[in-house]
Amino acid sequence: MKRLSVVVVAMAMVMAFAFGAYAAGIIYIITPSTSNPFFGTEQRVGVAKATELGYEAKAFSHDDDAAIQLQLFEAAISDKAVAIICDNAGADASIEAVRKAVAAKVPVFLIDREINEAGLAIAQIVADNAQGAAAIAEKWVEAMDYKGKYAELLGLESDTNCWVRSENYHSVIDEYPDLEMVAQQSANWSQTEGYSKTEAILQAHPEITGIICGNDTMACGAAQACVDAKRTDIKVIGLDGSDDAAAYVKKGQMVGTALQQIARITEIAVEQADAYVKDGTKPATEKQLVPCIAITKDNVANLSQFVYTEK
Amino acid sequence: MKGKIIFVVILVAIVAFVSNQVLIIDKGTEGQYTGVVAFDASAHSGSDWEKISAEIISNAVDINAINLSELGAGKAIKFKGTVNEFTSKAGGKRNTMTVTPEGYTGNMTFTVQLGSIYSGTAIRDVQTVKQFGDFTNQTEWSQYAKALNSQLDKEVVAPLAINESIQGKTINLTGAATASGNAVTITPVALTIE
Repeated sequence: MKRLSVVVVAMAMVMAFAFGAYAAGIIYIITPSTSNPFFGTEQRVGVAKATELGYEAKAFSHDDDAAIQLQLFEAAISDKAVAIICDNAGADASIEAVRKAVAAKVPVFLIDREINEAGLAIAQIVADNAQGAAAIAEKWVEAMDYKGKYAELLGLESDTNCWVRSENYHSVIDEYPDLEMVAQQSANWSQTEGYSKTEAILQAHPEITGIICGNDTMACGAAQACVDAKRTDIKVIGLDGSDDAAAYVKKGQMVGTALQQIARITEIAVEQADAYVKDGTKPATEKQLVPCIAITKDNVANLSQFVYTEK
Repeated sequence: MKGKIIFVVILVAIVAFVSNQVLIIDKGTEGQYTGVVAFDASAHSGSDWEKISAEIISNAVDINAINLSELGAGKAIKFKGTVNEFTSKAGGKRNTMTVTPEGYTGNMTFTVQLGSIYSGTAIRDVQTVKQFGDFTNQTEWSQYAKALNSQLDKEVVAPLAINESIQGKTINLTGAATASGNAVTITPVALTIE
């Protein structure tokens, strides 16, 4: 009888071990709405990587609503998640949710967007927008042959990224005195505004030969407006690396874009979560930058769904 | 009337108290009090350049000893080679030369940036003297890359006053190399012309 119970206990231990190796725990992946393919890529890649590493992955959208995000964090805590990967719903509004998870000993790994507090998340991994803007601006000045008049479409002026991108475009462009900006307007990251603002700018400043845009959605609007006005001589750039922009680049209606490697960023976050769950290993620094890749007609074929594969 | 006098007396007392407590700080000297000093990338890069160029020179690997398809974001490389063509664009602000390294037989092309403006962040990305964490934000980190590029122009390339006459000559080059497709771009850290 005693021997039997020893065997049962031993078997239970073996099974527990086997089960543990099968599912190392639950990882939550929380992002903005997947109606934007950029965030869809985060969920797709995050789930794939977590599953590959032996975790059960659960993906949700907070739809940029901090209250929904807080509920999802609370769900992760009561679900005893071993880690949360999150593209957050606001630099200040998200601090409460992250703090709650940390207090419940659920480590948080932030991707794409930062929060305004250091020391809470184990990692904040973001695309190097400054480098990306400079890299595609370098391709653009070359395409412009270092001269000519141009316009700029800014993003939402209250967003930090709007100015990071604009400043870094200008850090490259302003070194060439023969490049002159004749119009600068916000199109609020929007494709329809990108289109209508470009139409108006082409009326007021038909002499322009270039348009620099703070993101790909505005750039696609600008490029379409140029096509419709039969002004395909105008050199347009954007930033993000979307498939829509890639299509314009392939048709020669955009010079290029800079790819934010969100698939790579998400993989890194899951890998760092895995290392932390296994033995408490933290990345060398909380804030980490992943470089952008300048995309032009020369390498646009390598880009699909925010994944860049050198062929 | 009495109330008004008391009010004025109190007001005067408050003004006197406040002006005693308030320190007027001249514009531009805030940093002495707050410790927050406007970022100056060129000041950083100037003092770091010696260490950074020494690090890249000592880490540089012969270009024939590495797999060029794995250059990625940058590697410190060196080689002896022959200059093919010198090109000057943007009124001399974008000078480059194409070169063929000795002993190289592959199909990559090699372009060396000669300033005065350099594109990319290769020098910053191959050095380890400073990291992103040493800077406040992405823009400062980006400015640091540009400042290092200006520093290399001042220290290494500009003094050589390179022009078309370099075509056909033999050079010894150490620098940071990046690759895109089959184009290798090299930002020089040490350059001599034989």
